[in-house]
Amino acid sequence: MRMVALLALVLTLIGCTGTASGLRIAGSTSLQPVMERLAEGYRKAGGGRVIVQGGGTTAGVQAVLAGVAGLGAASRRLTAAESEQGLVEHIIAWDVLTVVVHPDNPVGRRGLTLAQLQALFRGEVTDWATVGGAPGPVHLVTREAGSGSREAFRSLVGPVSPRAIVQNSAGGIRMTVMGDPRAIGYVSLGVARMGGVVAVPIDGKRPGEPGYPLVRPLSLVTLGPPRGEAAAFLRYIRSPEARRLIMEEGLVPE
Amino acid sequence: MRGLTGRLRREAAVHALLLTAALSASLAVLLIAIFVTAEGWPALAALPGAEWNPEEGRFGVRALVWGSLAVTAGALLLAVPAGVGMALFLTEVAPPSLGLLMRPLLQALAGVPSVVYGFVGLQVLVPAIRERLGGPGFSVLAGAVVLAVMILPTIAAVAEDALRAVPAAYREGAAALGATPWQIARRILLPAARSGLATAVVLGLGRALGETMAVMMVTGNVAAPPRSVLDPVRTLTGNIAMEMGYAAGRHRAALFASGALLLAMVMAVNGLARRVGR
Repeated sequence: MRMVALLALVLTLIGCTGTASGLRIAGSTSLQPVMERLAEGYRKAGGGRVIVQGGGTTAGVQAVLAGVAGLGAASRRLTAAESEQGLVEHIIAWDVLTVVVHPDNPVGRRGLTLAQLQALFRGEVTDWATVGGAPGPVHLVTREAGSGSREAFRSLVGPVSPRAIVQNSAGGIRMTVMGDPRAIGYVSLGVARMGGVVAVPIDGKRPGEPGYPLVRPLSLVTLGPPRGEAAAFLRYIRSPEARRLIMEEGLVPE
Repeated sequence: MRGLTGRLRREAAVHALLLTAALSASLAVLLIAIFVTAEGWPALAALPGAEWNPEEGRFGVRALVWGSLAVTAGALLLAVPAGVGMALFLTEVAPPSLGLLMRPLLQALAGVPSVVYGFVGLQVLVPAIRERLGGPGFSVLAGAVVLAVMILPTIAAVAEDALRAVPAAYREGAAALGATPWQIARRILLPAARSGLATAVVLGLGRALGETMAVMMVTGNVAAPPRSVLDPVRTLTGNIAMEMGYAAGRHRAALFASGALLLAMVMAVNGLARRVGR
């Protein structure tokens, strides 16, 4: 299925090269929203046209290798095999996954270990008392299949019980957790900071602190050192204006 | 003479126009059915499975069908007695002035966008269920209550028409024999209006089965068969709405296939409506 998606993406990209010019970014769907904003900001700042496409990290990396995209958007580190082919990653931001609970939940103050978090979301720990909370059933809240946050959670924490309540937006998760003292969910740091919920320290570290385990680098990938338009776009991303856009998307700029 | 042919020609033109309109409407339904089935074809065989887990490539919709049926059945259980009761009240008990007040209110209820029902359900109903009855609040019950409110106007309006269609002589005859109003309603009116009432139920059923947004907001969308009315569920419609944004390949085909299944279910319900309506 991956291959088919990849093939479809590559074909689309090839199909497009004749008709549209400009820098092409393909890859991770989690990066798509922020990339689109950065592309817009880049154009307003006097840069050229940037076309943003999804398809997933692997497809984006393959598109860069095939020369049909100038930049690949990756929500994971490059594999050794990918680096050996001459790909270079440029980390542009950090996605800080934040585990949130109701303000009345003592776990919000005491924190959880990564192992406790994993056991909770696997559905093995079903009572808050087991992990230092007030006795009562745990209400897991997760995102829908295909969402970038869910994918990040699965890769950083692990599997999620099929009995978890599913909300199809970060706002939905925040609202659910705000209203339910027994709920636990995960959102990006930006959403967690909107209030009403408490970010749970993991392994003694608060989200945003060095050493907090639930972070993943978001990077742009080039084939060899960046040149031309790609280099200019990467320079723009380091600008204060671009860093502000990145923060507005709930990410932490590099 | 010329006037007559002119009129006939105009008649023919209107005839053709109406025929085109009718054909395009039915053709649209047919095309949608064909498209949805064709797109879903590759995943049709996977549907009978028990587990919906796109990340693992499993596309069984059994739990989702149960979810849809559970929420719909709950909604009917709540809305049918209320709707028929309301219709009985309006036709048999209420003074005409009260009916004039209530009918527009019922119609207004039918005009509220479903997302508004969902939002109210999310803000009021879900917390209330969580605090009073337990569980996460997102539940079969929440979905059923929201749907019941949504289908109530349909059921009440169709049931009222059915009851009004019962000849006055039936009522008068029964009253002359000394039957109480309750006896008249139960023994005469409801049996006499049976087919119309059944149509009301089936129309409500169809609407409940197809509703998406409001249900998705309050049911918690867990793709596992519910063990109680306080457990969360996912419906077929909610599943499509939630995952279509990302789906590709077999996942996308599976969503189309579940759409085809839903279409078949709604068509079956409509067929049922025509049969019982006769």
